[in-house]
Amino acid sequence: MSKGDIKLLITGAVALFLACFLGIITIALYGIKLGGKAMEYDWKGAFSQMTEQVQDLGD
Amino acid sequence: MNKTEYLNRLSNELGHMPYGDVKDIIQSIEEHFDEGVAEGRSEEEIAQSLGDPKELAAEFKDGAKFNQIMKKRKKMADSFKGPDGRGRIFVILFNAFLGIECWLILLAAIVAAFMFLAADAGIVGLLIASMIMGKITEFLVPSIFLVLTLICVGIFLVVLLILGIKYYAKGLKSYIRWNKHVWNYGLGEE
Repeated sequence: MSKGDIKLLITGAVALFLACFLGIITIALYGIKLGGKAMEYDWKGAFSQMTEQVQDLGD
Repeated sequence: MNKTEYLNRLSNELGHMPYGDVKDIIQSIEEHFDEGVAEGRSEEEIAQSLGDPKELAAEFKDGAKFNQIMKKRKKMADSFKGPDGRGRIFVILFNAFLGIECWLILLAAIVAAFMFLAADAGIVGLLIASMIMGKITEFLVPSIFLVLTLICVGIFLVVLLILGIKYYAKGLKSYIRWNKHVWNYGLGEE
């Protein structure tokens, strides 16, 4: 294996490490953002609306 | 160290021996290299297997290594007398059930890596374009991190492809050479 190949291999390993590291941060950021949105969402209203719709269908 | 460098160094180390002996030794080592290359080994590998030229020269001075190599060469020459039917059957069966399949799987892996790279570049382009056009506002920070992650994945795939293609070509070349050798000279068994 030549010196150039070893340099390339090191570059690849660093890129893979950074990809994993940044990937975890990305997932965490998306999780926080989506979690926040889920907390803000009016689940109660949505469920009651759905219940009404089901009751309407029954009638 | 390649063949020429190795022979030059060995020749320098053998300098004080009689000219005829040096010539014979250099010739036999040169043939050893040629035979190794025909078997599909690289010059560097053969040079490494022979060891340090200085040590080899010292062994030649004792006469031990020279006899050993000559014996090995004679043995190889005896087994390479002509086409061997078993060798040809081996090449056909080996390639039919294992050889070609392995090379195709590796080729598929390279193609898959290339497609992953194309998809990666496409997603990065799309995300950057969306950011510039102002389409992504709410998930801007995670999207920036996603772009950075995908760029790193792209760099990794490029490295993987460069090394993969290089060593695939190199390996395939050696494999074909080895097949040719077995086809022409047999398996080299006693």
